[in-house]
Amino acid sequence: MTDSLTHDTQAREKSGSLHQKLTSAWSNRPGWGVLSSVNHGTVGVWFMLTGAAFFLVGGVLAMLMRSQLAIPDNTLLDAALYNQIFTMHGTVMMFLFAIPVLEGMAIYMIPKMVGARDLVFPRLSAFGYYCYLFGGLIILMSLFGDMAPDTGWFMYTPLSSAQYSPGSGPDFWLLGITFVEISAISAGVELTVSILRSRAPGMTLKKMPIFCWCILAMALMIIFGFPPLILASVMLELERAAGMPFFDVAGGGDPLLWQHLFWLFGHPEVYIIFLPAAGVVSTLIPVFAGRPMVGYGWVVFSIMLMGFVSFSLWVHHMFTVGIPQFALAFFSAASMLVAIPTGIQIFSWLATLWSGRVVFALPMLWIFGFLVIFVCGGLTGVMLALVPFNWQVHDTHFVVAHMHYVLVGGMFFPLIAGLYYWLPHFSGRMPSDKLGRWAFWLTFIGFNMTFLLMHLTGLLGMPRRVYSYESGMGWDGLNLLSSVGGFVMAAGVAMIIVDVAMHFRFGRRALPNPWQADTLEWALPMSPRPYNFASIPSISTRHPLWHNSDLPASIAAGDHMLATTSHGRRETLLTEAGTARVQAIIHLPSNSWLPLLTALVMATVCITLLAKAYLWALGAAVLAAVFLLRWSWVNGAHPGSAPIRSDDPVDPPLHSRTTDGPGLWGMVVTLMANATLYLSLLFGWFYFWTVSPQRIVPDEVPISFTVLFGSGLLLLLSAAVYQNVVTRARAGLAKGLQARLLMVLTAGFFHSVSLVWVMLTSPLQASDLTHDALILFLLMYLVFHSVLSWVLTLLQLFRVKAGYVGAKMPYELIVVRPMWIYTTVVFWTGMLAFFGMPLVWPVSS
Amino acid sequence: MRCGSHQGPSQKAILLGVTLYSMALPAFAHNPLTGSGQERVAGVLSALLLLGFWLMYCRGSLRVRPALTKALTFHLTFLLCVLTILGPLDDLAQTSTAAHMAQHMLMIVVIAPLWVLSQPLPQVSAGGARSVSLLWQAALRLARYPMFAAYLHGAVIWIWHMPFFYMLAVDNPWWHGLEHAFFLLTAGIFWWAVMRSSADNFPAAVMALLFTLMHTGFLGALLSFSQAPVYGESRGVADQQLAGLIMWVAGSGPYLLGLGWMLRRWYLRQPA
Repeated sequence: MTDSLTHDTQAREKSGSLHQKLTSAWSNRPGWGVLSSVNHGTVGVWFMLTGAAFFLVGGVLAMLMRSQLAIPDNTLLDAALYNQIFTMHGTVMMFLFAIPVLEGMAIYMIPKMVGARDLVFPRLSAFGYYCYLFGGLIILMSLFGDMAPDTGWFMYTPLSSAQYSPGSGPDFWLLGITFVEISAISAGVELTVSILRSRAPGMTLKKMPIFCWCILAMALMIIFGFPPLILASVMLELERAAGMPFFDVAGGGDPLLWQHLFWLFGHPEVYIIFLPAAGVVSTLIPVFAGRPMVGYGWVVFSIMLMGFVSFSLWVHHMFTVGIPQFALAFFSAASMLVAIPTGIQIFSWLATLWSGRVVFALPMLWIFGFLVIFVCGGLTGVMLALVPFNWQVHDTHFVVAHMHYVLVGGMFFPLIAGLYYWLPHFSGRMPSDKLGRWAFWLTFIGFNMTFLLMHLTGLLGMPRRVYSYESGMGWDGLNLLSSVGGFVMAAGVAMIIVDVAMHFRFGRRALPNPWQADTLEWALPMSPRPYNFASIPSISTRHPLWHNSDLPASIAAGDHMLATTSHGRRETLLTEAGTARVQAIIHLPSNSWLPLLTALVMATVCITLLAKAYLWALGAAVLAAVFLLRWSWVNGAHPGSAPIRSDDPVDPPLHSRTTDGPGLWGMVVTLMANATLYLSLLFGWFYFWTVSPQRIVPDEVPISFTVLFGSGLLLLLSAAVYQNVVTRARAGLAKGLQARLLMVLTAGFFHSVSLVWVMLTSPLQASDLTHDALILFLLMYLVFHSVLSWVLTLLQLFRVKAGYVGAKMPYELIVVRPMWIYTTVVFWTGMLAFFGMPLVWPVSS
Repeated sequence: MRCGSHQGPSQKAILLGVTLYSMALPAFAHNPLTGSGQERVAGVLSALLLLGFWLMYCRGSLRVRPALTKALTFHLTFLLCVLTILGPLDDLAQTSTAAHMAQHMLMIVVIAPLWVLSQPLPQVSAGGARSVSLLWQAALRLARYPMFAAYLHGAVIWIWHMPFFYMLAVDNPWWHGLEHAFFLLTAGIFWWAVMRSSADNFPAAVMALLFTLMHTGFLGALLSFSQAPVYGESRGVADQQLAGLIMWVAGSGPYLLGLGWMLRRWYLRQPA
């Protein structure tokens, strides 16, 4: 008895000191220093709060529109302002609310769900957040200067080109959105690698919560979906600012190329928004039905299938651009295909509800709202997939209503369900049930009043994006009711905000695991610590908390892995992607100002570009590169990261002492995004050759091919020697490492210089001809990659000299290797496609 | 209207024709075997090659008995392959881009994956000469790298759709035969890499499939949207658009099915 008592006290003391040490390693800095935080919990909350703020801005814009349309011939807003407002409403809601807030939720939840202490690239989380914040603010700024974009949220050319939008509205959009997309890609890379490589030991893919599957699919879809839009935005901005006529018929281009690139992004984007929300639904339904999800495997299957299908069908957003008639039939039929995976998920949810004992708690109410609204939105989607009907209601309020049913139903309702579900986890308190129910019904009724009626307004022929209408067209009453409904919904949203704000003070204390959930995040203390898990448990089931109720206590007591803290590092486990066997310990960076500084400088690049101060922009871009290089310098064995110590763990070792780690995966995933951008560029080039209606092909391409060919050979040489460097370093051969790196650098230097020379001296008519503009763009792309590979290698040479990298620690050399391969491949495929292909392409006209 | 939406009945006729012809028996049409001169020699040679492959399988089946479903799949696919290469589509391909595309797509996304599904290698190696099985070994080594297989296959598809090479194959039966050999061989390697990937290679296999779905989609999209005949003035734009759609939309079906198949296979093999 006494024995066990002392044992207990000892255990408590041990765990107390463990928590103290972990806290000192993981805390954010105090005061303003908090801005240097990189912890996923902090950054995730920032993301969600900022997203909420942008949601309110978008909501106010919506209220302005509904006020304007409430009565006919209203003079509240004029046409010009109305155009800005609907453009900004769509832009803000899509790019600044829906995607970032879901990313934020994923950034906050994923490590807690997979049993990690943080995401694998913490500084990237913070950087992504600041890019999002600054990009969003830049876009928003335009609204106050009365120069907001006014061409609709999809920025169709030629309306958005310099001729028809001479103001700077589109520039704000293009630069701001590209900036925000850098943030999305960062989140995509980080979430992909974190989910695949940092799960708790034993959490095989088949034991992963469905939410994680959804986020994995979302992250991958961001990787493949966003680059086409980034490419298109950069091209359109170059057209507007530098006159490179990518989308201009006069130069031989085609405005429709924009639509292709936009919807190559836009169609997957619908699912990028829907999938995380579906993940919330799949998390909540089993918990409130008190039973495991029916058909786990089928749901996983449908998630992956959905991701695939969404990439092949972008054209069904373009039914009215003049597609060949029988092509429409193909697309109409193929559009129905996506009903299969969606159907699988919906029936799995229904079956789970059917066979469980459902507790209708507040979060479930929102799930119920989601099911009703989303299914209706899906049905109007099927109507829109029918071409004759599509033509009939194209650009009417019917489409607006459909889109809001899908997006509000498919994203907003699950989001609020998730908010209410995880709120106690965050604050340790329960929200008010009464206020919550009021908020739900007001939102639900208000939403349907606005948008159900809007279907009718659309069927009666009212076009969207028109700032006013005459009385007596049969639209008056419906519009008024829609406007009233809009305000009812706004009241509901306000009530959610009040409820959430008040619950921090007045909410009753939540019991541990208040919803009897099964997933790992509820094993943490409510209002979790920055390090999440005091020790990382092994997982042997898909529902750890249902099968092992002692888990919270044993985690806190430090009974599991990584309970050693003497080194003061931030650490989490690196596990194998499929089987989740432990491979190494990832040491993570601590608080850093570099993400904020880099993002600030990049915001300066954006603003100076907007002000057309190009020299300043160039200077800021160079400074941004300097910060980024400093960022990669403080890594590995650097004293600011994980210097070599005598007590370095051996089994498992630190990841930077191995040959495989998150950085390598991050590099590969980033290059996949990059390759998508490159393929989109190739698509643009082939599009020019096959589709552009008035293609102009100059008689000869004024480029020195001898120099270009020689330059390519030098690149091959660099890449081959680098390959040799890596092979030797892997084998532990230290001899000649620096000499070989110098060889790579020398060959790479002459390659880059000759490439730049070709780019600068070739008399391309890039401001007159689409053909030449595309070639110049390719050359710029190649130069960028050559220089980047070179600089990264130079950094490696310095790190070898500094002793951070070497034959005993070849990890970073291995991380840079894919970069050289990629640069070589894009160079030679670029040569073949841009200069080889025209030789076998007889021009008929 | 960018593309005339008044193509009227001619497209429907082609669409219908392609479907009907591809189902009809080769005897009804003029085909390479009954053609004249060079065409006939090339046709007979293709037929002999195919027949050799089939005989090798049959001979091997006597030594290593295949499962019934697999043998059935193999034989039916063989029949389909004969119909595709020597049947009416081949004749139509001389003048119709859509028929030509249907022929290519049958090889790339139907015949190749079906043959992979039928796992014919034990039989073919047992029934063939050692030199032939060396060829297989080389191909299988490539199939260990799904992305590489996808690049190779992709390069072959795009190069043969460049107008110069395309017309080369249309005008000359020898080039046409070579084109088919390239398609079948690289498609076989690609599908083998993708559908029979090891657990370690699975992510790469998914990427390879997505990459192929996307780039064939791009090529199909270009042909569907082009308003000028890419392959010579004598071929109609509508015909070419249909070809694009066959590649883009109809072609994406087998890719998605393949994805479903490999997802299932992978999922079932995952540790619980």
